[in-house]
Amino acid sequence: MSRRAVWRPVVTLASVVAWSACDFIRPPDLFEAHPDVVSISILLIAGESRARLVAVHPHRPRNAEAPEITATLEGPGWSAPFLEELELHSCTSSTSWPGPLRCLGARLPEPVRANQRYAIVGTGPLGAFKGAMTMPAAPEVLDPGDSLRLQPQVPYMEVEIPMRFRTGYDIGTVLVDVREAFETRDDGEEVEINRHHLGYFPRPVEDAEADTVYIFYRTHPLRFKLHLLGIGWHYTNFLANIGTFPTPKPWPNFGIEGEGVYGYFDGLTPSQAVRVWIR
Amino acid sequence: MTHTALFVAAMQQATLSGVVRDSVDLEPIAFAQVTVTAVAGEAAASGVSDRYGAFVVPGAPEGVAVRVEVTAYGYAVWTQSYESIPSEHIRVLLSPVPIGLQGLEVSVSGRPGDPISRSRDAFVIDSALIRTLPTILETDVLRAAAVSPSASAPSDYTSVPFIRGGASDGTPVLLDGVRLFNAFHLGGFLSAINAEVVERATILAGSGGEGMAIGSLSGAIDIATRDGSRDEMRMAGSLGLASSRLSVEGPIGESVSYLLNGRRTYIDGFTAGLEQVGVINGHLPYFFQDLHSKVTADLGGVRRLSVSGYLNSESLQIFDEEETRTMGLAWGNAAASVHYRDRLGAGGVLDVNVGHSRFGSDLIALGGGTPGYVDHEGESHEYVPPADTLLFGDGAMSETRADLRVTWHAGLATVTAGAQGTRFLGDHHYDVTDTFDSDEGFFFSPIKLEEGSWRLAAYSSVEIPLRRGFSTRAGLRVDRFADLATTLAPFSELSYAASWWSARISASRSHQALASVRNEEAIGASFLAYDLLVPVSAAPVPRNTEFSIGWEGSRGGLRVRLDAYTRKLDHLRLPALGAKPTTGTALGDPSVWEVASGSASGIETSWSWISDAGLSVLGSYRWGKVTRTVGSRTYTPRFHRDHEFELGTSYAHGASSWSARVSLRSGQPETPVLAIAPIDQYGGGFTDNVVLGGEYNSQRLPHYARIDIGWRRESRVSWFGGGSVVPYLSVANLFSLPNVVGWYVEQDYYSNKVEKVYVPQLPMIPFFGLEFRF
Repeated sequence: MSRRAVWRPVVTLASVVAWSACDFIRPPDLFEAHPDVVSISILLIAGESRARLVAVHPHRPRNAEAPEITATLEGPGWSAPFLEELELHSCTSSTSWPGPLRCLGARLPEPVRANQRYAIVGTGPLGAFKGAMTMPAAPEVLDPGDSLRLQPQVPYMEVEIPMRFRTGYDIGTVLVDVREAFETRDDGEEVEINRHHLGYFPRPVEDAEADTVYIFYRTHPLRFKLHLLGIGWHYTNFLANIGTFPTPKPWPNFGIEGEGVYGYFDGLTPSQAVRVWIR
Repeated sequence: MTHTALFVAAMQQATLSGVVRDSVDLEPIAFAQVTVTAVAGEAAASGVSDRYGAFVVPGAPEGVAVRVEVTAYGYAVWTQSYESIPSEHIRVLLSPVPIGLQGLEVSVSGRPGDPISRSRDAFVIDSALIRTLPTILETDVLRAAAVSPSASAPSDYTSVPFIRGGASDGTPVLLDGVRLFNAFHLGGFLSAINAEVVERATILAGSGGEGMAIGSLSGAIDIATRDGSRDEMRMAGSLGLASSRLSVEGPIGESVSYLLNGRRTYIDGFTAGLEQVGVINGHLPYFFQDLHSKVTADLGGVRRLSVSGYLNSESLQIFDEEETRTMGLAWGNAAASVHYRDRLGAGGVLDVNVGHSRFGSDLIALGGGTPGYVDHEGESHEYVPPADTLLFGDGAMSETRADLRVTWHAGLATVTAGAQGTRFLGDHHYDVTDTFDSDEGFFFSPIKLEEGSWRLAAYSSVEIPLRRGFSTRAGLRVDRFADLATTLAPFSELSYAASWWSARISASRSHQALASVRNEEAIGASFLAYDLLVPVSAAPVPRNTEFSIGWEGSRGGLRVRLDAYTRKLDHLRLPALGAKPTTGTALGDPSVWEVASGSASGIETSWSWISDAGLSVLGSYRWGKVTRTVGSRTYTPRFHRDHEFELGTSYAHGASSWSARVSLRSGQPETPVLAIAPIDQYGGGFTDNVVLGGEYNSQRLPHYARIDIGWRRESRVSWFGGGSVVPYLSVANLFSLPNVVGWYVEQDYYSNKVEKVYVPQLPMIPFFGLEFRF
């Protein structure tokens, strides 16, 4: 066999390889999900007399039509329809929602109560939905007490606040949060500052019974309220399933179910505030 | 012939025994057909040589002249006449069949044998067939095993196949009679057994017949190496893309042969070279190497003694001062076995096997350092080495096994009896911090386990020919699992043989008390074949019960085999599915495994056609259904495919040969996505997605299709006293068909488009290398 004949198959193979090398890996496909699916997020907050929900069409482009839903919250002996269309920031601090959405509000005849059971019923584009949950009990702060005065050692430093607390089994997520933060300027004027100047809040606690809160102190005297926020298991279950691979059925309880309606229905109960002064 | 005459003939029967060997290098020849015929009559008896070339033919006519004929694929027929049956063992030397090559007539024994016809219990792949299939990185015995319809590759990245719906922990890989743990390199991509020295791989699909001696849930892959050349010193090897192999074999005196072989990758050196010339930024400090040796003494007749040793190691050491994380992973295997065979009476054979195998690993991963850098003011900051331990641990598992087996013939019946003692030790201690877990959680979970187990077994089976072509086999295996249970594993089979076809129906049961840490539902399991075995610490013992029915026929050069089976797997140890099975760790903690069950049923067909004109075709198709039940959830495991079609073909023309392998498979199971629902991280100012799926694995991924092609050309050379060199070229997935392991969801923030991003199988990759033989 001639040298040319020997290499002919090699050249042929190399040509085929070069030709097919353009498409090594299967390219992504567009995921085609039902465009009328609605995702509903509801987190009732203990002590508030207004309920808010976010309804989004997660499979539609952002400029498409927002979801048309009806929903009614049912409390102890009353029902309150979500009739108010609110600005988005009334419902959520997030601006990265996928798809067109609505922020709906319902005025309640009484403040939301801890340990109280609430239900929701409604209809979405693909059918009815319903859900129920019991508001979690408030987390109990064991240490520090209801007030705390701190003297920072060095300017521009973090101030550590060790905390011990107790939560019931009905709480799945505990966040630590700072509210009503005020700074006293050099001229003696007290101005409210954004809590994000003091740190990343709210944030999850690191331990089930204790945590250390770090407050960024900026030389000026500071006062704020420190809370623990207890959120129920429906939200926690939903949070635990964040990811890119599907969560198969049976899903954990998210507090809401229906035809073409997904999401969560849960409650948040803050603890008693710890009033903190740093000066 | 009257009944009286039959009785007289039966009483006047003798037993012929001997050994069949290659006439050139004196290697034993397995699966040779031995037929004894009375010269003056029709009385005939037959037998088949075993893995060591030994045969025993009971029921041969006594007191009359006989003709003995021995046939084996790739060899000329051997015929010898005797005045009467020899009372001593005979030695049969078969000459390789001369075949035409470009007008020359040369003798080669490297023709692939028919994998279907050689054993009724197994699919047998010889060394020639292994080389006939297109090469993936390099010639690979475990990848070749997947041409069996009983064997399914769980992914392109793992070479070890799963057998009939069982996972790899139920299918031991044996090398020269000893279990080899994790018999692969490169995460499972490449088998750890040097193909240069493999005589054959026997894929036992069931637990009956030959499988009784194994005592596993899902058969075995039994790899036998050559004894080594007895005529002269020979050398063979290859230079491949990833590694080089070399084997040396030859005689020591008249009756002893040796075989020594090794392999070393140069991935580390190759990538370091690329880094030095600036082609890549960082090299891969990874290597594997293996060494195998075997010495065999022919003690005359069927008597023989062989000693095998095996050692391999693998290492990945990333200690780079530019990195803030370092990693040192080292693991390896060692195995040794001794086999002694002696004659037992006129027609009996005694086999004694003693073996020990150990797999050890040592892992550490550090993090938390700071890389050296120059800040914006030009000030140089020193490298701070990693201080946190993210992963650490070491572990070992070992098996020591002694096996005594007697085969003898009583009249026309063949009786096999054996006793086994097996000691297994598992000592695994790995810990993983949360940081490592979140980064690399696809592969490791913390494990702390130290357990040993004893298993004592006795087994016996008998094969009896019945009238009118029927025959039966039956046996019983009794296992004593120390501190667990005593189990009975029966086996029975009824078969019928006509002139050109045969059929059989069988039932069997088997047990094993070893479980796996692998979680096959994790997507990481598709990329990592490694396993750690652990003894089952409490009853019940995992159990396999199977029924099968088979048909086999041949016409001309075509042979077809059809098998149907159904299996029930009880008392398995498996992880609970959990909320997110796909992202679980591939190697989990077996202490939280649950008692589970499974089932598998299927129909397998295989066909082979080998022509003298150089063309051979080997194909198989398998339909199957596999389930696992853990707790209240029953699902199809992620590794299973309903349909699998494999076709291997080769064509030799002159000194060149072309080969192709076509794999068509239905898609693996996947979970359908119903909705992508956002969650507002309370107070965080952003949303994340929750991908809500339907029933677990209720949908199928896109079909799988792959065509591999190979070319090789043998050239005779006069170097080193004469030999051959064989350059080879192959392309895996020639048309770069886009096969996938799974997919996940990715959403573009700006356009809001959601895409299915596929986790790919093997893309098109060319391989080349050079084999030599002197």
